[in-house]
Amino acid sequence: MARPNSKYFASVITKLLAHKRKENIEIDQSFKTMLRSDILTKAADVLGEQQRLPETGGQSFFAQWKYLFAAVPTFALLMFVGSQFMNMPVVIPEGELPSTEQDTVAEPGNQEDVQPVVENDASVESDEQPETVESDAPAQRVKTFPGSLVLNQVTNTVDDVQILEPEPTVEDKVADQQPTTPSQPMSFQLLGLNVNVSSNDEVGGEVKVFDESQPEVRSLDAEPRVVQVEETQPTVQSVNEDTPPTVQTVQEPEQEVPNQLVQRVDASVPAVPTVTEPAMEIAPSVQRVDYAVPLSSVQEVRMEEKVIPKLAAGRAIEDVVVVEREPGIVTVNMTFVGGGQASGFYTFNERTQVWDHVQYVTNSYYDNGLSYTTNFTYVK
Amino acid sequence: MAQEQDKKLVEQAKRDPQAFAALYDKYFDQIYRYVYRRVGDKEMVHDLVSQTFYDALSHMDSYEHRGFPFSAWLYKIAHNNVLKYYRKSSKLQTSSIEEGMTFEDETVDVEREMRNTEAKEMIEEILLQLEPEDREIIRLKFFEEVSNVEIAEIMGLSANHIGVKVFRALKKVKQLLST
Repeated sequence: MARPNSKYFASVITKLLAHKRKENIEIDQSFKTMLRSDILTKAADVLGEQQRLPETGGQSFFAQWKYLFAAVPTFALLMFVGSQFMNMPVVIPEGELPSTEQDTVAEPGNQEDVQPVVENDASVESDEQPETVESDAPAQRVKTFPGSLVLNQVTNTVDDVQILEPEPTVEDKVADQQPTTPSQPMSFQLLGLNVNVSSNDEVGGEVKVFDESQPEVRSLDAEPRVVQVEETQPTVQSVNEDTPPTVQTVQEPEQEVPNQLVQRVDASVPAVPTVTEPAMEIAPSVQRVDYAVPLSSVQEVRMEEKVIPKLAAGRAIEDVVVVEREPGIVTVNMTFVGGGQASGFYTFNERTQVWDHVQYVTNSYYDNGLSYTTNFTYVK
Repeated sequence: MAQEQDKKLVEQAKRDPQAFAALYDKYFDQIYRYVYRRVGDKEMVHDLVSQTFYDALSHMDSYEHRGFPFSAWLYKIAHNNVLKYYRKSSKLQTSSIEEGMTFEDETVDVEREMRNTEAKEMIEEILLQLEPEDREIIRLKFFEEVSNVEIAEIMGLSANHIGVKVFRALKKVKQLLST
């Protein structure tokens, strides 16, 4: 069935329109006029209500200041959250700490008012953890280290050699170093250059010369554990307190160590060039070497040939004690005639059959009140 | 063109209610006839027409021009007022029944009230046989001469739906006229 078009409804539409035309609806004009006046009166009332509103574009007081009403509590909330955020403790994961080369070490001459905070407790605890040194790859080993122990130590620098003064004692310094200030220099000791030491085994007055062919060992004495040295009487030589020590003056190296060595510790750059030839022979002064750790004969020989002369740095040695600091690492504590002490950390490289120097380094960083400390150890 | 003129008049009336008089003068006759066709009672026609224009004036701020003539908005207000009137009349009669008065049909239909007033001629009798929604659409379409879009606005339906309903209502009127 086809859909009807307009012609289909033409008759119907015609009848509907005709019915409309027949309608006789009379408009009541009086009603129309009366209603118009009423409408205008009501319109005037509506206009009056609008004019009574404050001249704020027809907006009420709350509508005009609604944004201010919303902004005040919002600002207060933001201030509260910000204050809470500022009071939160800052925790820097260990793995995200910057490397030594990228960050500034706390320098003594720094004018910053901020004092670095050195976490001594955590460093000391970490020091007690045993670590193994891989002889094949004596690379850097992460090691914690209480830097404050180093910062306050009174040192005398002889070129690349720093001699620890006997007083005050380390225990006193630990107590005095709380807290550590950035103006305190990060000191370290450089030990042993071309020291001729006589051992107990010397026969017939033959002086055993330890030729120092290795580069000097620079030790940043992280935790100078001074071991109480046994007071033993010299067997070969008797030390006369009134006479000057038998150790002759060590020839100073040709190049001076830059001052930055005291301030910056860079493991990758050797600080002092190697001195291959001994400046002069030094009379033996070592009375004995006490090995508190079992070492092989090779290790003992290497220790006495290389390590001890370098650590003595030409000074008259009264006593030497070798103790185990941690598995694989020994501490060589040396007492000099006249009261001086020195110590160093070493690990034996099985491949090269040489004692490698172990450094415990602590760097303190500070940046606008954010202080943190990195501790690491590397084997040179 | 007419819509643009209406839009200007509405904007003026929003700023100055006194300008509403222009809209009143333009659309009073249409609204009066629209209400008169559905109510018949002159007094009630006056009340409903007055209420329609009062409502329009008080709600001028809420009016938004959406492409429909202003008359469609007035028709919608009048349509709602007429429906309110018949609903109110139905409740009054129901309360009379409850008071014990006799009444022929207890289920008083709003459309029956309108039928009693309008069933005077054949066309009107035929229109009364239509569904109330179809009858309203026929009246708006051919008596008030309102477009499908405006009817859709007044009835609250879509324009396409209004076109279908106009077609079905005319088809039914044709069948009734043939019989």
